[in-house]
Amino acid sequence: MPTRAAANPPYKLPPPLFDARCRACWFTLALLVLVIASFVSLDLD
Amino acid sequence: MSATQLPQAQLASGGKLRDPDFSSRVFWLVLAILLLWPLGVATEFRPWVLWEPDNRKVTLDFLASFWPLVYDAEFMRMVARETWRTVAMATAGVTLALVLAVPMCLMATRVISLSALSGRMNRWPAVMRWFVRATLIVLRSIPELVWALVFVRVVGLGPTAGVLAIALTYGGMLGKVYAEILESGESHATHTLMRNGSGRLQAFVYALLPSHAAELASYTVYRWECAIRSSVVLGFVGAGGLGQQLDNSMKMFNGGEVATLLLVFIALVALADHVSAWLRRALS
Repeated sequence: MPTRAAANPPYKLPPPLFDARCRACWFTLALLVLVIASFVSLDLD
Repeated sequence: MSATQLPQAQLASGGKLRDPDFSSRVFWLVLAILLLWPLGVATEFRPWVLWEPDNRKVTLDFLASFWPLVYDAEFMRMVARETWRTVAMATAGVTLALVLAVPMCLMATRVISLSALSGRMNRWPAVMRWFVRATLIVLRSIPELVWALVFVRVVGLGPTAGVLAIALTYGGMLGKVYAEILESGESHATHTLMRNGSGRLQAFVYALLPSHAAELASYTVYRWECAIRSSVVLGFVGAGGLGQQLDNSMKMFNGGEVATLLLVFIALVALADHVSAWLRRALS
C-alpha cells in the first residue's frame, strides 16, 4: 500500500485516527460499540 | 535493643516499654463510645437479635433455600438477556450523565476562569458558578431510586425510567467530583496558557486534562460500576434488568433462582472492577 505523503515536504501528516497497533484505539472503539449497542438494545422511549 | 540503649524514663520504670500516647488513645476511645452509645440506642441497633433461636432458624431456612441453584438453559438465557439489559442501562445512564456533567464541571471549576486570573472573580461569573454548583447539588441530593419512582409514573415501566434516573443523579455526582479534581493539583500550566492568550477550552485540553486524565477516568469507571449496582436496585421499582428478575424470584420464594442471580451479579461487579484496574494500570 503506497504511503501517503504531505504536499509540503519535509512536514509530515498527522497520525491516522485509528491504528491497528494502538491498544487505546481498540479500547476507544470497544467503548463506542458498547455505548451504541446499549442505546440501540434498550429501545428507549 | 540492649538495656543501655533504653531511654532514661523507661529505665526508671523498671525497663518496661511504655506507649507514650496511651492516655490520649484511651481518651478518644472513651469519647467515641460515649458518642456512639446513644446513637445505637436511638436507632435500636441490636445485632444480637440475629442470634436468637427463632431468628436464626428463619435465616438458616432462607439460606438453605438458595440450594440447589437453578441453571437450566431457558433460565440462563433469560439471565444473560437481563444481565446485558442491566449493563446497557448503566452504560446509557452514565453516558447521558457525562453529557450533563462535562459542560457543568467546566462551568463550575474556578481554574479556567479568566477573571479569577487577577485574583478576584468578577460578579457575574461567580454567580454563574454558584448557580451551576447549586444545580449539581440538587441533582445528586435526590437518590436515583426517587428519580426512578417519578419517571416510572411519567414514562411507564421499563429501562427508560432507570436510564433517566441514573443520568440525573450521576450527572450531579460526576460534575461535582470532576470540578473538584480539576481544581486540585497544579494549575500553573493552565494559568500560564491563559495569561499568554489561549482560550479556556485550549487551556483545559492542553494543560488541565492531561494532568488529571487518569484520576478522571478512574472515577468514571468506578461510577460506571456503581451505576451497574444502581441498575439492579432500580429494577425493583420496575426499571427492568437483573433487579426486576431478582424481585420476581424473591416474591415467588424461589431461592435457587435468587442465588443464581446473585452469583451473576457478583461476577458482573467483579468484571467491572477488573476493567477498572486494567484501565488505571494502562493510564498510569
